[in-house]
Amino acid sequence: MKKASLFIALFIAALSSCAPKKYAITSYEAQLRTISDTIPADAGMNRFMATYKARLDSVMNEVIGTALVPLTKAQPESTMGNFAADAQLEAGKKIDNLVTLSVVNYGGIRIPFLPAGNITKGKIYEIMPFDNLLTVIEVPGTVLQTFCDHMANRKGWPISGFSYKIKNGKAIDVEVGGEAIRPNAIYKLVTSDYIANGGDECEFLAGLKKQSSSILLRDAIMTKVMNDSRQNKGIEPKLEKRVNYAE
Amino acid sequence: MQSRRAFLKNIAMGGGLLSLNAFPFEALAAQDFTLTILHTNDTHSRLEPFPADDKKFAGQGGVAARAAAIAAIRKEKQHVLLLDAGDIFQGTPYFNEYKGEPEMKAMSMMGYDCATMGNHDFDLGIEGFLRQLPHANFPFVVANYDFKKTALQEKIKPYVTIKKGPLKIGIFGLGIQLYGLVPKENYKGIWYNDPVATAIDVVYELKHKEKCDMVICLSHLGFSYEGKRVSDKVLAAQTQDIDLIIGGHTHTFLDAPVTVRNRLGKPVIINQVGWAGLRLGQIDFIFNHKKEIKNTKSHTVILSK
Repeated sequence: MKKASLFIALFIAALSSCAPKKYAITSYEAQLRTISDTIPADAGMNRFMATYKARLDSVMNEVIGTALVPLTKAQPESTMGNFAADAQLEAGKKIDNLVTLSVVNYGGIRIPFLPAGNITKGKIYEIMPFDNLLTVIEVPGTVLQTFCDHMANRKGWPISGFSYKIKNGKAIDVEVGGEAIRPNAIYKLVTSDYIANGGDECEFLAGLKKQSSSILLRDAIMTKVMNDSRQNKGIEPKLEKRVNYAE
Repeated sequence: MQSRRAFLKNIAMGGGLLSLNAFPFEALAAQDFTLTILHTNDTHSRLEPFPADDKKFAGQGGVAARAAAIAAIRKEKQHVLLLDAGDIFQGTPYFNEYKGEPEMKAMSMMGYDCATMGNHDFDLGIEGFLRQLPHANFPFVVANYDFKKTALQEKIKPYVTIKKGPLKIGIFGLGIQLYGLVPKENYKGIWYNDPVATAIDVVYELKHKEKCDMVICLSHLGFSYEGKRVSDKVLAAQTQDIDLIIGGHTHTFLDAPVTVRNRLGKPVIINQVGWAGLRLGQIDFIFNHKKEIKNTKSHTVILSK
């Protein structure tokens, strides 16, 4: 147990001029405890957790695939982010086969690291605990540029089907399928209902034409883990400079 | 402890207390009252410890270890307040499977005294939170959400007051702007009020009508941001009479509480302990009876022997 005991400072409570109070803080002392398995567990709490855990474990410990490399969440681009964005794109094409772009909000990925080896259903839940549904939106080129600027300003989100560079907090050289962005083109982009409805300050997307679905982003990721593991013996996402900093 | 006492004594001496050398320090020290604040934030359904293969937090967290740590402190300290700054829900499959029930029950078992709501506590909508509320034997406070048009009306209070020994402690909550963070249908009917303006009103009530000896804010605003966005630091600086802000949302790991001067120049303590129940914060406040000493500047530091 790490216990950082800290003595801080005194309150020089300035009660000098006002009416006397009954009690006042004269000093304080702060401590920080790391909660860990080195603390003998509370027996009552363990008993309480046992039934919840047993039922959950039977569902979540199922191995659904293999990671051939460790997956990491990072910015501007990461293996975990690329995998999630690719999984979403593959599922999005089932909603509308003209979907070419995919965006996952960085904050929606909830664990920083997935080790190589067996992947359980529970791990996918940890990566993507939110019950977000895939939504296809029709994005004009000008709005796509705004979207890229938004992501660049936030140091890069996971994407698939396009690329850009970050310069001074803006997106430059946005390319879709190897071609420069066309302002008047309409791009079909799959993302979560959360983002499509303007979440994470993406208000500029909220008014666009959209097609909702009942596919959970989490299920899309699970499906790709299962398919890739069946076909290629495992998942192996790579960094491809989808998003990087301009030199 | 010895070093603290010595330090206090030095301060006292240095602070011009020499003239009070004849003062009955022993008698005064006996009137010291210690209040222990224990706190968590953003526990995010992390009921079990992180697994052994986790890169950063292997073996850390979990309600069984947290409960044991809290129980040990309760044996040591007579007057304890256990608080949480929101985002109890979401983050592990437990939440997907059980919708927040074991989180609420575990907190009740640990004896939480009060909590505020985070944005993720709306992940199953107002109805979803309401469904789990009966499993909590402690109150939730949020002062700046107007719940009047929702099913949470009367269920969530702006503040509570709690008596601990001779002290009356006021605890109020502040929630983050839900627009843009939470799907609209999940918080339908909740009106968000400015946290600073709300705090000024609520703190006045706690201080002057409820006559609280201490005012604590449970905040899910976030520790600090670039720019002018409201945060715990902004709140502390723009208000008065808040003694302590227990913060959340930004998952900030503070190694020690941060002190910010309020608008009267008095210190406000802000603390936040990361997320996932990895850490338990503890702050022991020493209170002293003031009756005997009036209108002096030096009375607050008498703790030494």
